[in-house]
Amino acid sequence: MVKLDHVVKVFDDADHDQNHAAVNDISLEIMEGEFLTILGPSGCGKTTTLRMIAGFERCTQGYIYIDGEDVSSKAPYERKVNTVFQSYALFPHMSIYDNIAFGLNLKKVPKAEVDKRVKEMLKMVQLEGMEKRMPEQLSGGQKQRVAIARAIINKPKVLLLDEPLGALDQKLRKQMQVELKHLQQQLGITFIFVTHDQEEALTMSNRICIMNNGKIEQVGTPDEIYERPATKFVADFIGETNIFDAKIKGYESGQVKVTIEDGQDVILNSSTPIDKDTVCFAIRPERLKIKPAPAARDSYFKAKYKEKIYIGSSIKTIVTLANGKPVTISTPAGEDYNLSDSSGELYITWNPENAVVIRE
Amino acid sequence: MNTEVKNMEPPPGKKGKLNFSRRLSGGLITLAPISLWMLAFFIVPIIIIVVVSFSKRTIVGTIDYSFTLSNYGRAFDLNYLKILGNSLWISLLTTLLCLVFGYPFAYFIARASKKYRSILLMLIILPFWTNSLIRTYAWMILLRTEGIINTYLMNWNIIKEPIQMLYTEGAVLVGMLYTMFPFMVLPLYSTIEKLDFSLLEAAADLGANPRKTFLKVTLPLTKSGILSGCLLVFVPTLGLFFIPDLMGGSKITLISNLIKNQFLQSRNWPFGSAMSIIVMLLMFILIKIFTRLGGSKDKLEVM
Repeated sequence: MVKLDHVVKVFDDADHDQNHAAVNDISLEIMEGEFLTILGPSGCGKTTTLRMIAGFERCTQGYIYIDGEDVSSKAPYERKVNTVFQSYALFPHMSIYDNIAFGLNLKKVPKAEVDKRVKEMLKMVQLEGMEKRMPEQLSGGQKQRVAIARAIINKPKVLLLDEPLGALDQKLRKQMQVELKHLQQQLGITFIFVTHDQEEALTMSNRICIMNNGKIEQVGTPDEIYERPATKFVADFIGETNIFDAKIKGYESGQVKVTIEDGQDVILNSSTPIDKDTVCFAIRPERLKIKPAPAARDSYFKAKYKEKIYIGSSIKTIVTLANGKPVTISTPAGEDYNLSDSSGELYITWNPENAVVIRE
Repeated sequence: MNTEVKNMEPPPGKKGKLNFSRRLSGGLITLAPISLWMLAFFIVPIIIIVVVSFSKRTIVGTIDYSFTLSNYGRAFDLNYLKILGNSLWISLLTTLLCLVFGYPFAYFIARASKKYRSILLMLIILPFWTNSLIRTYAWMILLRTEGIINTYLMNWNIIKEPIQMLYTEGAVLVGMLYTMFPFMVLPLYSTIEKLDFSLLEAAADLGANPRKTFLKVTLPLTKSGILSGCLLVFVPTLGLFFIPDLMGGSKITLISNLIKNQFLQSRNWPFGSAMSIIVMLLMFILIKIFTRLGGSKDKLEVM
């Protein structure tokens, strides 16, 4: 539905840094009816990418296709996409009704049909009876709904959402996440959603595209991103994880023997070919277990108990390697280990499949 | 608003009363200088003008304080009405020209990068550092029959005979436009600068081409700047007398010249006062209409 082909954006006007590539050669394909989230820290180029799809920014290099058509040099009003802005950007001089009807009125849709569709939209976003109000009279959540209604009434091929929930409070945000997701399933419109909130990305998306420094780090389903992070950045950015730098010692029957920071040997299950003599791997805290002795097929290393942190639904146990590097282990509440400083040497074990080899 | 007032209400009892009277006297002290100023230099002169406008002129040109309406009656003479109409027309034209040239200019400054914005604004304000009378003389040097423009056009053989540019209605318009231009640009700039440009993106996103975006979003949202700019140009233009005097010559008499002449040449203060009062009332009505157009008064940029 939307295809980015080696897109580059360099800002060269006086208000930006000279020759700084905000988006640096990204290629991405978004399927019809998909909910794709572009996730990344601020300044990673995610909003610029979205603005290029909408047409507010022209790409310096590369091409953008919407529905098979090259739109790279087309103005925003010629593209079949609509945007929900971070600041909502509701027209302050128009009533809610006129805001929502804006797109249809421009297309000279007959008044009766405009009226019917605006009413439908108001019902859909649960704002019936509000049509005469002005934007300044609405709460943040209501403005948000108007912004969404104003965009989807035009039946766009793709809806672009630029951190639309950023200004809402935590509770409303959760509620809107669910509503947006349902809306997307109901309408079947392709959603491209930009956020810096990883939880939002994980709960709402079909696929997540993680960006950093103007480049795409990884594209995948939420569980791929979480369970199989491709790069150190992704592993670190999404959730909590333990990252180890190791040297390769030797290969035997599909397994790799590596030496971690404090000199211990650890067995890794390697499906990805490694072409260097060093390797980086990550294990999620909830995949680690503390045992008095390792089971036969487990990978393990030895560590010392440091402290325990009570979270509520889970308990975090921090252990340290011989060189002082902390490792976090997470256990559901109730399955807690009875440990103390005198517990001595512990075996930290995991199923070899759960350790993920990642790129730098 | 309501809650603020409630919070400010002093608690009951002695202490409250003390606070209240202290606040009141504080208010009086801070308002006193401006009140005295307005009384001495605005209210008293207006009262004098009103009184004089209902008085008679003696043969030697002094004022005879006996009540008459003849000054106002004379003002409705067809010749004077023509002058008034012409003045309104020139002011309206000046305002429209200022708007047509000023809007794109203000928009350009507001959208220029921050680096250049202050320089561009400076260029608008810079002419104010020179006396406007001197700047008007400069225009006269340019436009005269033997002036710079005519001389060069003849030297380059573009024209055979000098063009009469000075002492025409066009010259008056040029002078007015030049003098009043900053008063249009500055309020326009300040509203356009405050305009949230994401609204323009939203309009484009919803399918509005640049023309539609301008008509449906930019223009309505900068209406207050347009109205206050027009007001700031229209009202003083009606009162500017030295530009029509210097650049219009004897052919063009506007209401401002007429009033000036009543005081300085004809020594007919009562008639001059009556004309002043009529112009003032007219402006008052026009300002009312303007503010009505702008929705409410507090939305205007400069009022």
